[in-house]
Amino acid sequence: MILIIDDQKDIGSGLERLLRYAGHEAVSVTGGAEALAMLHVRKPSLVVLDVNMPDMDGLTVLKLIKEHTELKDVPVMMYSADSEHKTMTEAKRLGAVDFLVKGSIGFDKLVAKICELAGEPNA
Amino acid sequence: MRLADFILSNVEPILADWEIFARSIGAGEHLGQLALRDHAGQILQATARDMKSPQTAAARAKKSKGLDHPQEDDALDGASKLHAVDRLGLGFDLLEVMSEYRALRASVLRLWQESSPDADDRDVDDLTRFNESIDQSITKAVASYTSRVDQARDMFLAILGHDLRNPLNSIAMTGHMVPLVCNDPAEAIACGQQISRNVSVMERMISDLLDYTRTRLGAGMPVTPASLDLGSLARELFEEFRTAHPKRDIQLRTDGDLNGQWDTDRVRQAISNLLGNAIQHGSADFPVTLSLRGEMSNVFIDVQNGGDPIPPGELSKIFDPLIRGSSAEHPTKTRSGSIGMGLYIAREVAKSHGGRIDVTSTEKEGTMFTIRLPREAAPRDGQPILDAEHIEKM
Repeated sequence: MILIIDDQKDIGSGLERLLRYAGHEAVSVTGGAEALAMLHVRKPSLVVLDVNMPDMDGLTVLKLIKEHTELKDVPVMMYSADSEHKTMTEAKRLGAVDFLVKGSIGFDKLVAKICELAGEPNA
Repeated sequence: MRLADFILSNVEPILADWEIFARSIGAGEHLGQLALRDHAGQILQATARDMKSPQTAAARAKKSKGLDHPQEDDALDGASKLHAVDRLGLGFDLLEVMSEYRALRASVLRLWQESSPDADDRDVDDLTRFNESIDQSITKAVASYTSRVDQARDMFLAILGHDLRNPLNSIAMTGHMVPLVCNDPAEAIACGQQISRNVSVMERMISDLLDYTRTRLGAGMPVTPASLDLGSLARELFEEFRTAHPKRDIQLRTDGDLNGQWDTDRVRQAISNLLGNAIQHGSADFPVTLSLRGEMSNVFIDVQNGGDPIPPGELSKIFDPLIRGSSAEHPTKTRSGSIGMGLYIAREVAKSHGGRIDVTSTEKEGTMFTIRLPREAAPRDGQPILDAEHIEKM
């Protein structure tokens, strides 16, 4: 299962649909707190994480995942409109496996990248 | 007494005279806010010290070309830069900053003349050095002011680009999905709705930006005053926000006659922006309250939220996204679907009706924005009015 965390509901659900059409199971949530609760119930193969979110920013969510004994090995890919070098560097430092900027990559490539990182075959 | 010594011994009377003079030239609405004069005092003292420092003709020539930088200049430059940033934060425009300097120069010279100083051969030299120092301070202040405005504009454009990218990305993603869902009517409808929703978000951002640009250019916000029951409008908005934010405690209170002549869409926009701001910045542990009360000739709209108060130094900047963005210590944070223009537009809506907006923020009472609207909209001179009678004349 791939967990998408994005406060922009349309982006989260859109990506969820794209992955579903590509033959994968995906779930989207709109906030960090909701995501963390879900992570404790079911461990995903990949987390796709936005940066700028109102209740808890993506870097904080990433830090909490990487500090948690049972979750720290879950790969986290950042997917954000924030293209600041400082944000990208910080995400990498905290343990993100990749950082993709929204709009900078075609959706076919985005889905392929997500599947590759999730370790699931791209249907 | 030499001019430099006169300045050093009379900083306080000069500043008092400067305030009176500055107000009298009426360069703008912000000249009423001359409470912060620390930097002006520092500029005066640094100017006087600069004048007292020995300076050869060659050194002066170098300084005039910016080739020499004595230690005294650092203090003057520092105070001038701080003064300009301070004024920007208070909402002064560049013309008003220049007017302040004009007033400062005039106050010094007038008071010195009135003190009937004994004639001295070096008076001309003193006056020249005084003017050079003031000019140097003006140059530094203008450079500091424009650099900070440029920096804020760049930051604002970066935020705008970032915030437009989200709905655009969502539209692109849905477009990409259309061939995949063409055999599934329910999914196709959902895709269509998603595109429409995001187009509306982008339209709202662009409208906000156009409103901002138009009002910054001095054209004012166009209004169409008509009969309006603010109580009904408030109830509509209250229901909309309660539906959109079911987990938040949102309350509505109305009192008195709430009828008047206002532009429905603009007033709706202003109240909606204030409620959105309260939801975004207020703590979820406290209610967001929309209160309206009608008095004899005005109606007051209060939007209150609990949570951390706005720092006092930020209150004067809060309505202007450019000035707010100029503060590196408090980077602008916008809510989803917004480019941070909400409070600016709320203020312009109030002004376009001849009213005003105020804000208070304390630990105990929380943050409260109050819009005062005259019952009969009283647009300012030059304010575009888009009713039938005015359109006929256009």
